[in-house]
Amino acid sequence: MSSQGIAIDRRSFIKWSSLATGSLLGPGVFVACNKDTHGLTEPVTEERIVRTSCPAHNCGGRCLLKVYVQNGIITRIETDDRQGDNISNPQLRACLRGRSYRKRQYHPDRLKYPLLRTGERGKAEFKRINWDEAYDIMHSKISAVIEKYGNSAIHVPYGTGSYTNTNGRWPAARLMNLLGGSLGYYNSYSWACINIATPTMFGTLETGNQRQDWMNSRYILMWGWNPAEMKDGTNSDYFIRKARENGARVVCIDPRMSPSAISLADEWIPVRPGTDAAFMSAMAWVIITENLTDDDFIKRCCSGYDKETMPKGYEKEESYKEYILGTRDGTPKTPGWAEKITAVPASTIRRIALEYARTKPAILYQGYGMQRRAYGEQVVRAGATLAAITGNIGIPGGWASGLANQAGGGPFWTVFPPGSNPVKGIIPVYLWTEAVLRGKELGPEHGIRGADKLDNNIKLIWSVASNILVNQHGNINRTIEILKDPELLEFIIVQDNFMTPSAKFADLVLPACTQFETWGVSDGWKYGEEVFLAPRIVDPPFETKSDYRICADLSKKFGVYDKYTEGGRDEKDWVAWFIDEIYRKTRFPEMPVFRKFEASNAGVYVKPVYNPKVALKNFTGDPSKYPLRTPSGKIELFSIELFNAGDPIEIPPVAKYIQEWDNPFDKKAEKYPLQAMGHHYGPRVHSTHDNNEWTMKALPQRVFINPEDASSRGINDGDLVRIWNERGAMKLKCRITKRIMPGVVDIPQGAWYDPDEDGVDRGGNVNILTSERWTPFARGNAQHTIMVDIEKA
Amino acid sequence: MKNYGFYIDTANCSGCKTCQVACQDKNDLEPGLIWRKIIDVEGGEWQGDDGIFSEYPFAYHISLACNHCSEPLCVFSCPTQAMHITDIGTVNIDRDKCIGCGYCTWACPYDAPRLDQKSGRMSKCDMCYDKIKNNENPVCVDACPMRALDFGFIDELREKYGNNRHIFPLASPELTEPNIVIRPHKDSPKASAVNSAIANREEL
Amino acid sequence: MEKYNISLALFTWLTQASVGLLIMRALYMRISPAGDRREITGQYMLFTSLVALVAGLLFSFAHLNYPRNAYNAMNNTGSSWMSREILAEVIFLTVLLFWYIINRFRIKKIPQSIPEIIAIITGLFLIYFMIRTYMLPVLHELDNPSFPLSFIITALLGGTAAVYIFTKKNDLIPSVKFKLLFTVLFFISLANYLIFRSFNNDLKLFDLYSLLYLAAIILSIPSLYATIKNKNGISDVIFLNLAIISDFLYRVYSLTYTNPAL
Repeated sequence: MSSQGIAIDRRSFIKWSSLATGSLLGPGVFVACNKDTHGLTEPVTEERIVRTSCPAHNCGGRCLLKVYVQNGIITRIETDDRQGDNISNPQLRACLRGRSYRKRQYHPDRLKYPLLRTGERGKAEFKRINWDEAYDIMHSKISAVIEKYGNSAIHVPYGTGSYTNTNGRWPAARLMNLLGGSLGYYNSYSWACINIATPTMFGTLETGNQRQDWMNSRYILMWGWNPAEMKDGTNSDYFIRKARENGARVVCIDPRMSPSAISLADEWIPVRPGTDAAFMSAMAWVIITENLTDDDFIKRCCSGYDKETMPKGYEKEESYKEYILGTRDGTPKTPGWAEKITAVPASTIRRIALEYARTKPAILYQGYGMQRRAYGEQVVRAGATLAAITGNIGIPGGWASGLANQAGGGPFWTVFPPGSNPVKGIIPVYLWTEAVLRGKELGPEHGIRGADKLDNNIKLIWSVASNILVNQHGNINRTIEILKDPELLEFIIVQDNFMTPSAKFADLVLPACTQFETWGVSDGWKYGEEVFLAPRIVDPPFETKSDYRICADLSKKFGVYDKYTEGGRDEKDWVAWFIDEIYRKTRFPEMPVFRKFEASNAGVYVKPVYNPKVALKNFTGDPSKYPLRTPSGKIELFSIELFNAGDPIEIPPVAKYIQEWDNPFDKKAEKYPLQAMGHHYGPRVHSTHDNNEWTMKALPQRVFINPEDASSRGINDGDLVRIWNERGAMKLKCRITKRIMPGVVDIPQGAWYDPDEDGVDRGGNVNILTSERWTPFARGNAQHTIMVDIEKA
Repeated sequence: MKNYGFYIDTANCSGCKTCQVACQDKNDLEPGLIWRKIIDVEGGEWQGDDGIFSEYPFAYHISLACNHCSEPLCVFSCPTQAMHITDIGTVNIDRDKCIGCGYCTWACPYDAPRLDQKSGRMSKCDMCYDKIKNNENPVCVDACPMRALDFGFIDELREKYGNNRHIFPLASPELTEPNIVIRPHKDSPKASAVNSAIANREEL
Repeated sequence: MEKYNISLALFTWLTQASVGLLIMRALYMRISPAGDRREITGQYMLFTSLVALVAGLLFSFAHLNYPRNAYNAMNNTGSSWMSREILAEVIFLTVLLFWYIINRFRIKKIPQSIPEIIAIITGLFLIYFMIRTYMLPVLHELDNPSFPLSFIITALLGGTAAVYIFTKKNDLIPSVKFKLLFTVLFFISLANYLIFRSFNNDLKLFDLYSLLYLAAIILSIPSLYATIKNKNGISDVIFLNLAIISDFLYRVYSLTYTNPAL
């Protein structure tokens, strides 16, 4: 092993050096490596195949990779090759992001050493330091902030760059919890509204059937849902294909003719962004006036549909039916009313309503983009209400809508135990900049939970596997002003694989290794019955370490190493513990023990699904015996919780269409006439892979614009255009496409912010245009609700 | 000789480009050099009054590599015989003979041969010759998340999926007798040179 | 076809002009009074033809991405028009060289007419092979009668221009005839260009190509007038250059804006 091992290392350095081109602090060292290896002959080791989890970014799926390794270098990546691909146990085939991983893994810009800021924040001027210095700095800064302000002045922000448990934000959260805690958060950037609005209807997030059940459906409405591109669970797109082959009619409603609209749907209906709730309300009007409601289901299971089903004590309030028929507000929500709002002809709305109500069982699957908007809570509730009044809940082939976590318990997301946080007050995740600016002023009215008030502003940020500091948060120009001010944030630490736009604003940058370079575990994303083992396949290059190792080493400085590592566990020990002590004792008692799992080189343990579980089945079968955890115990079309929020205009207790604060209808639209959306783009996972030359050459970052909007502005295909609004501006090449509706442009989210000297972004990051404003009830991000204009640059 | 062929299901292709990237990974292709490409076809028009749209355009994707034609114009045209038919009937290029004139690219109706800038010679899909010899599918076929690609002897593919070899905007199959079976997308009959075009030229 | 098109345009244009020059030279030799001047002018023309051919060949190398393997280019004369084109090119060059040597060193044993006839026939084959090389069934823009005609016109136009230049100072009578012929050929080139553009639905009156042609036409009138009146007008020089450049740019255009089959 020894001589060969050294040879492997050298080989890997050669490979790395050949890849190095002018990256930060790299060249000198690369030269030294080259000299070091000069004239050495190295034995070629045999090719090795390792099956592993696709590096667990926040993509929406979890797939199996078959990695070829030779001489310590990954030479090729294939995917699941298990025989007998079938619906119960389908192959977990990786998409282009997994298949192209070598271009990320061996990217010359990988962070290699700890770096300390020397210039202004954001200028990306750093000097190399060693790990011991880095740990000393972290120790002193964290200790100082705890002493001066208290633990609640420290924040380990939301970050989804890694989900392999030993890599990701959880190891940092665990260490902070051992040191007295840090300011926590709830909710996410992905699902803020759907996370909060779903339980107001159902009292649970578990409102989805297992996906194999889609084969039982006759009609599938993919509403703003694009599984073929963003992957809402590995194979979700394939399952829709299979359901369609089984006879289901599939209709896709989306402002953009998405890959899913093209490849999965029988029909595509473009709808103006932000008006889905109007479309749904008009569908409800048709269903109600055509007497197609499932009255028995409504009577048994729903609360607040009409006068008779209003909860006790609220009989005088406006019921859902009254809203739809316009009994009180004088506006019946007819298809004719909706067509002017949605741009969908009344006849189409009527037809879709009739199809959905008459073809049973039917699925109305809600995508997540439309709830990252101004009143995102409403569209979630409106969709679930349609499922309720047509009785599509709790039955095979039906779908309750809402978040739709799978019945019978979903994946764990994370099994790394962060411990409990002694700091009790937590913030809605999207309000972290508020907590920096004026944390002490924030209270329950801002969604603060666990405390009446925050007792600190955030003073120190320790960001791990996250790019929300700059890149992914709304209104970049505002965020960077906050980050630049050392009075606000006294210290910023960023741990990552690359010098991301967020890392450029850090005081201390720590180089983390990739998921191929340490042991890890991940499980199916939203769906699936599987656990992946991710062994350490190659060595961490240069001075990179796993996020866990960084935290474990740092814990020594604080004197909590033993506690932190549970007596010295390394990444592999933890992984063994996750498998043997968590998965085998909870979700998968029959899965092999770690040693056998490792030895099998299977990469994945799958529990095939033969009899897919149906959500809310017990409840709909016997509502009195299995009541929901809502105030009324029923499906709350009228939500008592929302009524109690006391804001009937912005937080109505029944699902309503509310015109967004930035919209194409009012006066402001004269200045910024185009709606801009930022869809999840195929070649990236949020901001991950933006520097991957294989994926980004395949599907480059462009602003997608309709021919009509382009020609009226004298824009030709491929032109560099300037896109701007009151918050910022960018310059980006355009693609003229008929696949986006007139009046709407699409700037795929996640591109890396790259400002010129005037602050105009050249990377195509939509967040230069988005807003930090949050939704009224979930306090979620409404980043897709923006208006812009475009001109030839 | 029994010819091998690809089955291309444009009805189910989502245009995700996993096949393209899997091919780049397997063959270590530089960014920008692609042996399998995905053509986006867009057609139709937006129509409607008053901002309400009654007619919408359509689009579909075609995943296309080399079709390993039975009458390969590239082979006939190549001045050096670098482009040749292999022992298993596939079309491949012998880099030791190639002069990099690019003439095969002009001759090919499918734009399959590509210049490898690094070596200065032409390169193309070899149908994963090594994998075929090893009784495996080409890497693109087993990569498809939608299972929209298939591979096998062309006779068997035709038996299984039918005889169609054409979809807009591909050239007439009589030119080269491509060994492909194409399942047309539902909207492809609407496509014509008048109202439809390739929309992603820069990606090809 | 966007890359290396300039070198390909130069290669085809020069090679064709080289062949055309031999044809026009043959004409000149037969209509001009015998004498030393004719022989010397003829020799210049032969040399110029050779230089054009060699220059064209060098440019043809420039469009290869891997010229080190160029010796393979005649491997496939069985089915490749390009291979045949290169073969014809090599034969043409050999004959031309041979002819030039016997002409230059006044070797009387072999009558000049033998290499002359062989060279012209080989040259015509060369042009034919060239046409076939580019007229690929998948290149729709080139698949019309206008494109092959342009190769022939270039040969005659280039050849006539050269003969005119060589003769205009001293051989007044043939020079005027060649000038007239050149002007007529140029008008055919223009017509052919317009037809080519209309085949491809790409006819724009005010792009670079059309404007050059237009300028050349306007200049052709004073230039012809000057020639007939035996005056050396500047319009003559400009017209000649513009006409040649127009024809060459037509070549660049036809090779550049030809879309691949996909």
